[in-house]
Amino acid sequence: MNLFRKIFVLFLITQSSFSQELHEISGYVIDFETGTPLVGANVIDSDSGMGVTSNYNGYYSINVNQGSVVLICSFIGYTMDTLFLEIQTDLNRDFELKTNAYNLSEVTVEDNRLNIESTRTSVISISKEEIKNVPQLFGEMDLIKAIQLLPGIQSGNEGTSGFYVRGGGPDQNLILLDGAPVYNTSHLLGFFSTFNEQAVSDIEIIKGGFPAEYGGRLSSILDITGKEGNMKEWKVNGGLGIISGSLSVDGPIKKDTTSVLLSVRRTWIDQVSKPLLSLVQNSFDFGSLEAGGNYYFYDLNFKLVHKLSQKDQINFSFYSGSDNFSGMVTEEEEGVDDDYNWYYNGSTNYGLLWGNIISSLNWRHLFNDHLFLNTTLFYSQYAFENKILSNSDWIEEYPTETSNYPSLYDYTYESAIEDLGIRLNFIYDFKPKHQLNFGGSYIKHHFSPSFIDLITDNDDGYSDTTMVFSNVKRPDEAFVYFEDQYTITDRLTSSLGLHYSIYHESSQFYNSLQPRVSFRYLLNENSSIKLSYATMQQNIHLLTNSSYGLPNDIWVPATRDVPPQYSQQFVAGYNKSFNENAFEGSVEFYYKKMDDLITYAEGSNILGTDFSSWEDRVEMNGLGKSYGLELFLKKNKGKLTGWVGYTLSRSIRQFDRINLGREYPYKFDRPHDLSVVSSYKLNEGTIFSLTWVYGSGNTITLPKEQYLLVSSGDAQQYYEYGARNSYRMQAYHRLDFGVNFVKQKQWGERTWTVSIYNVYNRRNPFFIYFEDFIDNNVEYVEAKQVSLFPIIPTVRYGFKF
Amino acid sequence: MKRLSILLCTFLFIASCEESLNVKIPVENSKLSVTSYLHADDYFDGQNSSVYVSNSISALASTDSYVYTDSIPVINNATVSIYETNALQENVASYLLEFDYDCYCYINTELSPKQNTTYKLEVEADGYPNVYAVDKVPAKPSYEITNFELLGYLDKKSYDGELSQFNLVVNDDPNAQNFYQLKIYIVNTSGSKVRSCYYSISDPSFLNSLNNNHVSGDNYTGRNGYFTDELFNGTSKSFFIQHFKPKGVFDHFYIELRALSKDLYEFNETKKEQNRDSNNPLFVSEPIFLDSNVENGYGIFGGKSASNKAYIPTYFPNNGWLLY
Repeated sequence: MNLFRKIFVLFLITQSSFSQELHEISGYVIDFETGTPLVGANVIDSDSGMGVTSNYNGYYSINVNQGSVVLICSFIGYTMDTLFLEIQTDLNRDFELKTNAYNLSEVTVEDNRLNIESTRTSVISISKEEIKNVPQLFGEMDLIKAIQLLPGIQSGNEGTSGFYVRGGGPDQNLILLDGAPVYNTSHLLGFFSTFNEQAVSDIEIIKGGFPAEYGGRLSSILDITGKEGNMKEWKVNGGLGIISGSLSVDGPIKKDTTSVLLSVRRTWIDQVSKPLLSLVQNSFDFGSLEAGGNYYFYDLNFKLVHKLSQKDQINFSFYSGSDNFSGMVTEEEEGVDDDYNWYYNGSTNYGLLWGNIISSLNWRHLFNDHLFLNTTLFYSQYAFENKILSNSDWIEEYPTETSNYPSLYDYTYESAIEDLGIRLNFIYDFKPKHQLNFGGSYIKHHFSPSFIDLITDNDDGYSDTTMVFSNVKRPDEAFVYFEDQYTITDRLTSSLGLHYSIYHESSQFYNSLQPRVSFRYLLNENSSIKLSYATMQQNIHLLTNSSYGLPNDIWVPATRDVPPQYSQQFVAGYNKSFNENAFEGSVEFYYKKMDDLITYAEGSNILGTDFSSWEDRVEMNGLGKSYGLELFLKKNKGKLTGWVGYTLSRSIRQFDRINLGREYPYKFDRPHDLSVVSSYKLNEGTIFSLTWVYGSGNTITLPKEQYLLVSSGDAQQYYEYGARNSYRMQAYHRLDFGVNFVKQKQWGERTWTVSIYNVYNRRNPFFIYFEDFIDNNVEYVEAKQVSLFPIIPTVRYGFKF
Repeated sequence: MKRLSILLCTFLFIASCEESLNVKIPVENSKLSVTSYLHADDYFDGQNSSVYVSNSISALASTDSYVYTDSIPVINNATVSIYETNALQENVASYLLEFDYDCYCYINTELSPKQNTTYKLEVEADGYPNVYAVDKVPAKPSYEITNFELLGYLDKKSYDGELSQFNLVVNDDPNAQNFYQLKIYIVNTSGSKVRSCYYSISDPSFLNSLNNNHVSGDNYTGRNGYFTDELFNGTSKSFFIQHFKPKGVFDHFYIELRALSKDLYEFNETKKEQNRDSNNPLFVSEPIFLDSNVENGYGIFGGKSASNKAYIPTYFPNNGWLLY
């Protein structure tokens, strides 16, 4: 054979080896014990190293070469499963994984590769197994507080559930529960979130490089999947802690076909605080005042799953939760004035009620191995009500007559937001190298930003007034999207998407075409670099004065006078796994620019009695800029596991009429943010965990000078303030410790959780205020810092059977 | 709502702990704080027109850091001058004020501010940067009283209901932005007693931040209402007023409609809104800066004028009104 023919034959052989026919393997990843789908499970072809994750129906689809294939399926908290297959055609195979909650190392070995191979930047998927060992405030497992330990995600003030992603505000996070938006995620001033961990299955948070299917918020997507009921047998799960208790029951109505889950949680802080309030009342002199109060919150989750066929499944999900605060203050005084005696008695009853009702109906349909549809109909309502009923009597006793001045003050304040919407998501595996995602959504919003009914009856007369500071608004919001995930070469993959949204309120339209682009380049099988760019439009705003989940934070729509917010974000990242995937690390740089932000005008807040419209109380056309570097290192293997996350960042705002138009640090600008989370498995029944967090102090505006305005012998003191947010409070750091003792019993499993929050009793700043005090007739001013939570040991008992 | 804080703070009290902080605030050079009002046609005798001079101190300093004269926190050795200027901003008259120990302020009885006239204030004191301020005394407001009805008894001690109702018709100057303040006083001449009266007006012009504590729906009920000509600039605007009498024996009352300079009105607005407890995370509003027209210092140099009309039934049994 001459040289040319040898080369030609060699070429043919080579081409044939590179041109092997591809076949598709698809199926479901299911929990062996419960029969419920596992969302986000990893399926990897061990030969090629290519992998996919199961979607929100637990369905996966992977393209492999013809011939011998080894497929490995893994999911955290479960034992890996391996299939040895001989592939000649497309195949359908399901994986049924068995739980192995404490063998985290085995489960997670292969997971890291998908972080390297995925085109998506800034995505973190968390399972409950990873976070349930993290010691938390009052021993309550809280999903939101757990994600605050990740780089790029910060908490606001001490202990709160609000979160701030890459310099964005608390309203810039799209939080979805089974596809329905959640507007208030806080109980008890934000110290607890509304998510009962027993009713939650999976959490995914996206900080940048947003897929085209999402829109409506600038800074993050927190997609929470509710837990589905066990398809095989009935299960009970519960816990008793210092602050709250919970109970969850789930099981099959019809085995492998229909399941139901019901989960409730309630606090008993009202019972615990009663003796404490009495003690405070008896121990301190409040003058003529007496006060009492009551508070509780609850959450209720319900989910029904019905498999119509192998290709169709319907889920119905319902959540209801609220906080209820009531209080009473009574006062009695008497005195003498000029020529009469006076008597005063009054009582004021307060009520605060706020809560969510969230529901979704979801239909998942598999047309064929290539086309999948997820349709969701959803409803979400958040409402807040404040009532004050005050009765008082002022009596003047003259020598010859007595005058009586009764007074009534009956005040009701209401605010609400409601959404009704539908969303369709198609996933189409067009070709082995193309996966197309497309779909759309429509939402009808109903805003009642503030409504007041006020009845007064006093010596000025009787008055019954209804005030609406903003008319009810019913805007429409819709979007369509298209995204192509394309494998350009073996190393280079792209995700090119467009999200087009349109918003309509009264006669005003706002629309935007939002590109969503990301690229991934494999440097080798253990490392990759990624780039992404995304623009977002947000059509609603949250008016808030504080970082708390205060119930009177008000959601308001974009209007003709107040436009939507916009953002552009660029992300560049490097991902690597090493030491045989025992470690994974990433470095990400982001730059985010925000336009048309709004904030309360100086001196404005929603409390008090300023009756102007909300649109007259805000500053608009604000600009925001944030940038930072996030470092993440995770250990997955061995007895000791955990992660270290560090963020170096800045976040800045600018409004023309605030701070004299100059840029100023955002309230939660935090240049340094560090979290160290570790878990050590001593044996099957004992796991220790240690968490240390450090963050730069929050910024505040402090007065720099005080001066007097003197007139007619009267002097009033005023402050001159420094530049906005020019003072930084002390750094925040805290060490938490926890240990889980798990024991298998005849009837099931019990877990004692002992944890210590703030082990070294660090007095972290909560807020600073100035207090006047007088010493030897000289008035001094002292700056005082209030810290909230000292060292708090807690115990929690959990059970399941 | 503020009393609600007792309950919420109880919870926080139980949960929180407090410590004194050593907060480092950058040291600023002390400045002068000036409080001065120019009242048209009043002598600068310390009654309605005067200049008070004080100093600023660090936010964390104790009050004994102020300069005191006797026990009053005022500076008594400043050089205070007021200049009357013309349209070209040229000084046409100058007045040097002297410190008076009766009012602890600076006065000059030869100065009687004129309406529609601009004045410049200069204050110099050792150790402080010189301060300057300019303001114009607005023209006296023009108005009439129409449809007047007397509904109660001025001289009945225990009566405290509606005393009268009338229309206040304001003739607004179309060539200027005008700011008003309305007060009604009731007088017992023999007892030298003057009290301010409540009155009630339903008009959107009274729905502003200065009046918000006394507004219910679109109705203002108070004793010291502010309004501007934003909604009726240059026209005659009629306000229907219900006027209430306080308890006591009186013989006449008078209406005082004041015109304020823009600087003075905006100063009053921001003074009301400033909240010292702005860093309370629960009930916070961002701190605001007092709108001052004093260069290099703090405070206000504000012009105002007033037109008074009195109703004196004892002397005018035919229900006449007279300028007061």
